[in-house]
Amino acid sequence: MVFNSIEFILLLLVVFVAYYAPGSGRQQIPVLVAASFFFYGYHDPSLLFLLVFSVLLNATLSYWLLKDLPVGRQKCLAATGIVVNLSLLAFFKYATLMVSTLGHFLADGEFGRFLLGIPLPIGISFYTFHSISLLVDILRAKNKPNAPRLVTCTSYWGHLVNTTLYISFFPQLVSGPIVKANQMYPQFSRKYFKDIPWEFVFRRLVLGYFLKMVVADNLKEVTALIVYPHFLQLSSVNLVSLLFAFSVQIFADFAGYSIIAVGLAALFGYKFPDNFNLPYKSASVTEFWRRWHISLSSWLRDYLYISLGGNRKGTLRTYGNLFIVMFLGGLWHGAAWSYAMWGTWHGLALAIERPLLKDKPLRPSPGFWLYVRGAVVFVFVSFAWLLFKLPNFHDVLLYVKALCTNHALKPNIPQLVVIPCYVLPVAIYHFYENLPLFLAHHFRPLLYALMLLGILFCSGTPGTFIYFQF
Amino acid sequence: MKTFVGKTAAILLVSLLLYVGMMQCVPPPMSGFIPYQDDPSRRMAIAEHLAFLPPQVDTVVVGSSMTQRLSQRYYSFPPSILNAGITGGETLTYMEILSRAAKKPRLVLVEVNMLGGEPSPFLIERTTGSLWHSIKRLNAFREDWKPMNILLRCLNNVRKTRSGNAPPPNDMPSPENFKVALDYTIKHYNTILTTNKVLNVLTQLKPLVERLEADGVKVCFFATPVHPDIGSILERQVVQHARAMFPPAKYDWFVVDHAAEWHTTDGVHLTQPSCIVFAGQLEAFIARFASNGSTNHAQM
Repeated sequence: MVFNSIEFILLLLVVFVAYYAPGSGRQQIPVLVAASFFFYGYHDPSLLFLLVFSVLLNATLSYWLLKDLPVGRQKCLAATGIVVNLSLLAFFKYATLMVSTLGHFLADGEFGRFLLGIPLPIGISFYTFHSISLLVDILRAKNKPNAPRLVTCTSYWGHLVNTTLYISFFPQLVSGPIVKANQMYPQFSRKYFKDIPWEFVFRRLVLGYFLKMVVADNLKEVTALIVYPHFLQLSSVNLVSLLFAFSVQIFADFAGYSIIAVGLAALFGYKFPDNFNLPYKSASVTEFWRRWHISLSSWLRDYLYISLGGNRKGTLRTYGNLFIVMFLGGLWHGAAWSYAMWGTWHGLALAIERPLLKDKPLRPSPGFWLYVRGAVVFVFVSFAWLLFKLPNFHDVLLYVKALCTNHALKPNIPQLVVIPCYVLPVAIYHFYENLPLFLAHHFRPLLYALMLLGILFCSGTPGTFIYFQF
Repeated sequence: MKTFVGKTAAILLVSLLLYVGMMQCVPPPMSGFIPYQDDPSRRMAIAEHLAFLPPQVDTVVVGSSMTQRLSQRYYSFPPSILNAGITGGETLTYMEILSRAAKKPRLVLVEVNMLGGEPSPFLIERTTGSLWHSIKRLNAFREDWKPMNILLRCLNNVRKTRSGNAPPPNDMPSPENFKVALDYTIKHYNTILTTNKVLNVLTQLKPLVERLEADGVKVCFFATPVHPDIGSILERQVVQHARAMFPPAKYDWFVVDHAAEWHTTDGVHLTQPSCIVFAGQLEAFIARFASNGSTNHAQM
C-alpha cells in the first residue's frame, strides 16, 4: 500500500478513529501494529512471514539482552542478532547480485536459478537497520555510562508489542526515515487527541503530498526518457535538463515520502527525525550528506563508521573507513554494482574534500563563492544520480557522450517548458528561508493553499515511491 | 480564521472557486495535433474525449502510435474525426470506455497492427466510474485543462501561427539509420507479438465490438501500411487472427497493400508525406459509409 492511494487514506481514517477512541488507551500500540501489518501485507500477505520472523527474533534477543547477563554473553547475543539480520538481508537482497557477478558458476545451475527467483521483500533494508539499531543501542546503554538509555517494559509481552511497533510502524516501514531505537522507545506511552500538533501535521502532509504527487509524479514521465536507446535521439540541452530534472524528481519523491511519514507519525503522537534539510543548498559533498537522507547517514556514522574506528585511528584508516562506509551505503540502496559505484563516487569526493575543508567552516559566508560551490555540488550530485537511473555503466557513458555530442540536434521545446515548471517549486522550497521573515510568514498560508490546489489539479500519474525498491 | 490552517483553508476555498469557475470559461482545445506534457497525460486526455465525446465527432479511430501519426489536421474536416491512437495501443480500454459512454460515435475504426494489452482499470474508472464521471464534468478536473497542457497548447499555437501553413517536414531517415531502426523493430516485434497475447486481446475485443454494434455503432478494421519485412510478421502474428475473429464477410475492412510507395521512418511508422496520403484514403473509406447515410461526414 502506498501513501498516495485511496486505500491508504481509508485505512488512516479507520486507524485514527480506533487509536483515539475513548477507552483505547491500552490498545493504542496493538491498533498501530495491526494497521502496520495490514499496510505491509495488503498486496502480498506472504511478505508478512519474514517481517514477523524478524520481529520475533529481535524482540527475543533484545529482551535477553536487557537481562543482567555477563558482558561476554551480551556481546555474543548482540553479534548473533546482527549476523542473522545481515544474513537475511544478504540472502533476500543480494542473491541476484551474487549470481550475476559469479556468472556461469552459479547462473546455469539449479542453485543459481533458485537464487535468481528469490523475491525482494519491500522495506527489508529499512527494518533490518531498525533491528540492528535496537540490539546495538541496548548493548551500548548497558555498557557505556553516557549512552542514552532505553525505556523498556519488564514483561516479555510488553517488550514484544513495543518492538513490533518499532520495527513495523507503517509510516517508516518501507522507506524510512530510519528511526533509532533510542529515539523511539522513550516515546512509547499513552497518546491523547488534544496533544496532536495539527498545524505541524497539516504542513507536513501538504508539503509531502505536493512534492510526491505534483513534482515527482509529473517529472517521472519526463525522465522516463533517460533510458537506452531513447536518450541518444535527444539534444544536449534536453539531456542536461533531464539530468537536473531527475535530481529534482528523486529528491521530491524521497523527501516527499519522508515528510509524509514524519507528519503521519506526529498524527499518532510520535516524533520522527527529519530526513532531509534542503540538500541541494549544500556547498560541499560533506554538507550534502548531512542534509540528504540524514537518518541513513547518521545510522551509518553511529553503527558502522564509529564501530570501524571512525577518525580515531590515523589518517589512512580514516580514509579507508570513509570508503567502506560509502561503498556499503551505496550497495545498501540496491543490489547492483552501479549503486556501489555511486557510493564510491561520493566517497571519493568526500576524501578529496576532507583535507581541503580542514579547519574551515562547512558553509562559507553568503556570497558569490557560496553559490559557485553550491552549483558545483549540485552538478556533481546530479551526474552521480545517473548511476541510479541507468544501472548499466556502459549506458551512463553513452549518456555523457550524447550530452557532449548532440548539441546540433533540434531541442524538444515542450520538454524544456515542462521541466522548469516542475523544478521551480523545489527551488522555492530550498530558498524560501532566504526571504525576509515577515514576507515568508505572510506568504506561507498562500503557498500551502497553492500546494493544495496543485495536488487537486496538477497531480501526475500515481506511481510508487522510488525508494521502495531499496 | 486566525490560525495558520484557517487562513490556508480560507485562501484555498476562494482560489478553488475562482479556479474552477475560470476553467469553465477556457475553451476546449481545437482538433489537430495537441501536445500533452507526457504520455500518461495524452492517454487520459483521449479517454476523457471518448467518455465525453464532443458533439461534432462522429468517427473515432482507435489504434497505436501508427494511428497517432495520422494527425487530425490531415483530414479535410478534422472536428468530425477523433484520433484515439496512442503508443502501444489502448484498444480494449478505449473500446470499453466508448461502449460505456452516453454519446457514441457513428463509426469506429480499429487499427489491428498493434492491439495493445489488457484494458486499463485506472483509465476506465477515472473516466466512466460514476463518481469520477461526475467530477470530470468540471473542466478543471480534465486533462485538457491542466495548466501545463494549456501552456503547451498556447506555445504550440504560437509556433503554428509563426510557421503558417508550411507543409509537414519529410522525416524520411537516411538509409543507414533506417536499416538500424528496421532491424531493431523486427527484433522488437518478434519478441512482443505472441499469439496467445493477441488472441487474448481479440477475444476480449469481440464482445465490445458486438456491444457497440448493438448500440448502432458501425465498427470497421484497418491496418496501416508497414515495411514488407514487418508486414509479414504482423500478418502472421496479428492480422490473420483478427480477420478470423472479425471476418471480412461480416465486418468492413480497409486494406492497403504493404507496397513500396509507402515510406516509413523505422519500418512501422509512416513518414509525414505518407501519413497525408494514407489519411486521405482512410477519409475516402469513411466517406463511403457517409454516402450510405450512416455518418454525417458526407454532408460536409
